[in-house]
Amino acid sequence: MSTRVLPEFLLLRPDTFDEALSLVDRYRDKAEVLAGGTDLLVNMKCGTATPSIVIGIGKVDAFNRIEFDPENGLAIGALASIRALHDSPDVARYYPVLRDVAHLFANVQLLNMGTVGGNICNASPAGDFIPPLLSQNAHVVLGSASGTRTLKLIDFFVGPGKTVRRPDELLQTITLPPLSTDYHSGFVRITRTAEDLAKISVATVFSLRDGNFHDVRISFGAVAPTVLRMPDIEAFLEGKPMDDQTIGEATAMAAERISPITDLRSTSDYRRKIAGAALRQSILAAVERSPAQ
Amino acid sequence: MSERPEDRNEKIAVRFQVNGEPTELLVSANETLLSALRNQLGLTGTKYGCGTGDCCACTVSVNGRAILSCLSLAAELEGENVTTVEGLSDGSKLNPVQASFAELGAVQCGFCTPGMIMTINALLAENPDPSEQEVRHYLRGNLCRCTGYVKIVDAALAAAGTMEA
Repeated sequence: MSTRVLPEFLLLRPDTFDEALSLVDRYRDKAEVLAGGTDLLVNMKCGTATPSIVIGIGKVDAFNRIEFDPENGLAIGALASIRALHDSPDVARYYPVLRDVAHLFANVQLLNMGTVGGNICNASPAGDFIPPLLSQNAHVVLGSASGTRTLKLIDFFVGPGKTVRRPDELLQTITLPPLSTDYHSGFVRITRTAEDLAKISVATVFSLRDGNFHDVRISFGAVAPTVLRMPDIEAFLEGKPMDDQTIGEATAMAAERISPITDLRSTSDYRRKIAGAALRQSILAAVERSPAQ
Repeated sequence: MSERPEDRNEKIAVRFQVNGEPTELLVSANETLLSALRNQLGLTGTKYGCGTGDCCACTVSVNGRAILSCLSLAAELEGENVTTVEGLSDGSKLNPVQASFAELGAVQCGFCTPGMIMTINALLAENPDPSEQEVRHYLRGNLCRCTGYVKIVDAALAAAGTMEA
């Protein structure tokens, strides 16, 4: 039996978020931050992560709640489990596309263990929550011993696995502005099997005014080093009628604007070929869903 | 809290409930809950399948939620309430999911069975009357390489009617 064993490391278990911040400040690049463990521990077992120090923050009783108010929108604590997002009535009502993603995301065990903050900090171009959060104009709040700073989520990612989070910082909160209930939203993830990571994913958010597209936000996952917004396609759709011809012209633009790689999940060629179809599906999924009540 | 890197081999004392029993263990930082259950407590009902979260054979319950014991550090379970497949029966009286598996023959080689039973148990605690689709969705991570899924789903649905509220 090829038993996968975790290598030895020093485990630090802060009791409070402030204690966690002082530990990341002290150990910086020497330490990895452990939240739900569903990614880091796998990477450590497989030898792709080799930290000598692990700072376990999953049990810290802070930034683990999901709060909504109509004026400020949604605040997702970075340590909230994906299960908490899945079960939140506010998310289901006001941000239904996030509920869709949580439902598709993975099996219930990984939902119970994994955190929304972990999915973002891992910064995988195929991270399932990133496209819908980008399409909701999310911000992230980063904390450090010297204070907090707030960034647009789109400015957080630099490349595969790379973010602008400094080694002395921890992600605290992901915030989403309120979304008027007449908006439509849809998410499509194309995978080989239900449990696989995305070959390509698209999250679309827009409203319809007299049958015309308005305030369109389109984000593509797994087609470039980071998840991408599509400003050209968004601008093209603004004010145009929601019909087959418009959608056809928009989807034809998609393949030109992505730079997918060939990896074990798909080829660059195939990703280009299905990009338009995935965009069409996500728009149609959004149209079909009646806006939140 | 020990912070010297040379202390990485130091054992960590962890106190938690296992199948209702207060339990205290000394664990290494790199010891998984799965290893602590099997190797320290002799609870070998929980199985090691893939070790990387792909098969769910190691599913146990922590505070009523199904989680993977192969990707949980034992040292992080201070104060938690862990239930394994050994904790489901009342003496020799099987719990409804176990009884249903036995009655309907929802077992082939048996290796995935404890994980399946723990997952179904968590489902029925949350949703006492699931549809077949809900059972299949909830069990999507639990792999059976004998491919005996039909009887497993049947057993879950049969057990649903007999769980105590």
